[in-house]
Amino acid sequence: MDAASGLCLHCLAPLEGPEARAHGFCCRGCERVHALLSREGLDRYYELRRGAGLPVGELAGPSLELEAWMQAQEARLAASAGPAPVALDLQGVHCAGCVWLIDTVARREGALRCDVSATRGRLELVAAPSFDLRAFVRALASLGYRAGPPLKRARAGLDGLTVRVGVTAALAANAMMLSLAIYLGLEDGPLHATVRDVAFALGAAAVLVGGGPLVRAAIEALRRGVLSLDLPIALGLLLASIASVASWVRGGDAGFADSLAVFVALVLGGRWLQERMVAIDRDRLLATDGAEGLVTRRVTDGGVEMVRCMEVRRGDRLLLAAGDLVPVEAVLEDPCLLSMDWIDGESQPRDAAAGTVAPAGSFVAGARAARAVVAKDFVESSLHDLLRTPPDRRRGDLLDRLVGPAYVLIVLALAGGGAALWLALEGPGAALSVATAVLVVTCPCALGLALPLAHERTLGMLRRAGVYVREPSALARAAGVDRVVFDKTGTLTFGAPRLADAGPLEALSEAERAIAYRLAAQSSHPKAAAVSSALPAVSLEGAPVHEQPGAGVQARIDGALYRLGKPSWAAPGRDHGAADLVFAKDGAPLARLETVERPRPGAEDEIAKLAEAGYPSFILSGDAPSRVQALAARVGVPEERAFGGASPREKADWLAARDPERALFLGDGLNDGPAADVAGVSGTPAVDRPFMPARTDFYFVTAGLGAVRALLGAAARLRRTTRGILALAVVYNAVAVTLALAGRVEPWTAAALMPAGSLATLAYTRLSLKEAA
Amino acid sequence: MNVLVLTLFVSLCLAAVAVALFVWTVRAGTHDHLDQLSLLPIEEDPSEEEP
Repeated sequence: MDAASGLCLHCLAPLEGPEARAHGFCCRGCERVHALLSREGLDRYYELRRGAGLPVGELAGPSLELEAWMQAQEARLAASAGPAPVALDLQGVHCAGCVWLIDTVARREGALRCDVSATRGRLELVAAPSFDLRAFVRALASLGYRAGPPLKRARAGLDGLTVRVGVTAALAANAMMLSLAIYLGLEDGPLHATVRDVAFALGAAAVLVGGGPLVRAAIEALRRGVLSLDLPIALGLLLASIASVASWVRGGDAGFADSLAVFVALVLGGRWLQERMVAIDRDRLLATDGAEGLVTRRVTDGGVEMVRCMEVRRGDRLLLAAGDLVPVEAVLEDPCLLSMDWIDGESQPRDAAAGTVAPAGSFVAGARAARAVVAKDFVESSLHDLLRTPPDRRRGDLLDRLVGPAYVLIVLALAGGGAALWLALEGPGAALSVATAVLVVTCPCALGLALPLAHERTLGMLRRAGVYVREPSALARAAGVDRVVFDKTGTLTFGAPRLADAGPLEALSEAERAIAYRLAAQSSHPKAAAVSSALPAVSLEGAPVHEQPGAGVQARIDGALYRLGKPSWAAPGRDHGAADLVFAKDGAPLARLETVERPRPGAEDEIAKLAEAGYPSFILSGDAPSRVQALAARVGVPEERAFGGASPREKADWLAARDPERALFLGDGLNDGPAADVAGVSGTPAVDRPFMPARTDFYFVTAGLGAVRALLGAAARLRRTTRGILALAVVYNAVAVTLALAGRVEPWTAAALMPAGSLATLAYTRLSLKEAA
Repeated sequence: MNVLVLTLFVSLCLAAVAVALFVWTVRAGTHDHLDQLSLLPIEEDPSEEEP
């Protein structure tokens, strides 16, 4: 595999944009991890993985929450008398290759045992007291795997469903196998009676084991006042069970206990497929417990302690280190650089002087730590409000969304009408048979298995495109979307700026380039990172580098003072034109640089393709209107559809006033949370912190924006396939019911017709979605 | 005929054992570690590493 194939050399994601195609990697993270694997002799990862991997994105150090958790674990390990278990949540694990890599690294670091679950995103170690947990987490991070405290909840419900599906399927298969003997001609006699009784017992047991969740779902839907497809399924199941028992008691065949058991197994299997896929997609990211899990550093008399933010009170003093989140409004005692991107979408970090208030939800963007005095209790802070769990949107089950309440009404009316007619004509026995027959045949395999299968295949295709769906009904809702609304910073663009033109750096001498790299690499300012990423890496050893908060970085080398920073500080008294960053020697500019916000690769192309497909794009941002308009012009969004300066509430109100159910909203920061709650479908590319993915319908891990078109296209295809499946089901049932009513169907013909109909429906589903795959 | 009934009984016992094993594997979490289990054949034998 090479870059000429148009795929990332590490993760096999499509390369978007000329820069990525030139390097052969979709992102910087993939490039670094690829180099590390080669260097460490871990190339076997590429042999063991199956298919494409996940783009690494930006490599990040442990969060403060993980730091606090690791401290506690290290103390526990050190205090243990012998080997002790340690569990971690993981993000980024997707295949056997990842499992092998993590297992190998754990053993190299000294773990005695390592169990990795790719589907759960969970790592369980057994380690000696001397095990260096911190070094192990760092090693994982360098390979692109994020670790977090073990917050993922057990999938007790899904595991219970797995057991029920397995047991129901086994019982149903055995019941059907025995009944086959009767269908094929086993007649009266002791063996017939034995086979009949055993088949009935197995079928009844299958219905008892598998029918519970279906009946419970129907009752829950009724309690919520929803006309769910579960209702006719549960009613049909109940009536068919009564008829089956009556038939067996009268000495007839096994009733239709065998067919009923197969039906229950199929419907339950479909439901399991559907739930398992979204559970896996959810567990691929680290879990969040919202505001409850946030941790900060509190200054005490004896030093600094890690405390849960929920315990932070007005008057506490906090220590805010580089990269830390400001959890609550606090008055700064030291100057620092703050990024507001998360709370208002502003792309440029701001210098905050001592005495000013740092808003809750901002991040320390500079290298220098700052102390701050908390201005209010954490529970009163705006961040606490933004992190609150969104209300249960009760957006309905996938099948209900796809099929609609009209179908349920028609089925119930047909069953009720038929029963009433036959009650008048023949009496209660015939009425029961007709109602049962209508309910069973109108909820066929198509609805029970083919639709969940179509959903599962669609989710699989989206996964391969780097899109992960968290909410079961999201695809059904996406089929009704007619516009796409983007947040700007972090969504349409990468949060970090880059150089508009690296030419001035290339014009420097080799020695000057090395000095510029040393200065830039030792600053954590986002603009400095844009400079260091445009220069070849060199050793950072040499003269010490000092950072001047709000100005830049400087170092004295061979008697000369080199500065990289604000033009007015690096080379004062000169005209620097549009440059916002200058590299200077003794006040004389060596390179004038301009940084720009970097749109995601192929953003303009994607927006054009979305428009072509009938989805106009909008930009809704908290950033300055001028910057929003500038970006809109770059990516091809008309001026009248780009809005800046919007607060989180204003974004939500804007959407709510414009038929929000038909809008797909894409955001990345906490400021996008309220809008995501309002939109018909919401998504995010921000998988570095789990707060946003936890409240959106889908997330994606690709560098570009192709995920949006992939999701909308998949939703439209799923809707088309659903209609085809329903049409097939109607035709099949019309023919089968007519033949049965005319007395033209022998039992063995019915036994053959049912699986034949199901197979035809499944084949159609597969073919219909194969083209798209 | 008796042989058929016996065969039926034995096959049902086998099915019951299969179901019990399935329930045990789900409860033991084996289904969550399929990727790791698939690597067992290539895992190096620790005894081979001894000099």
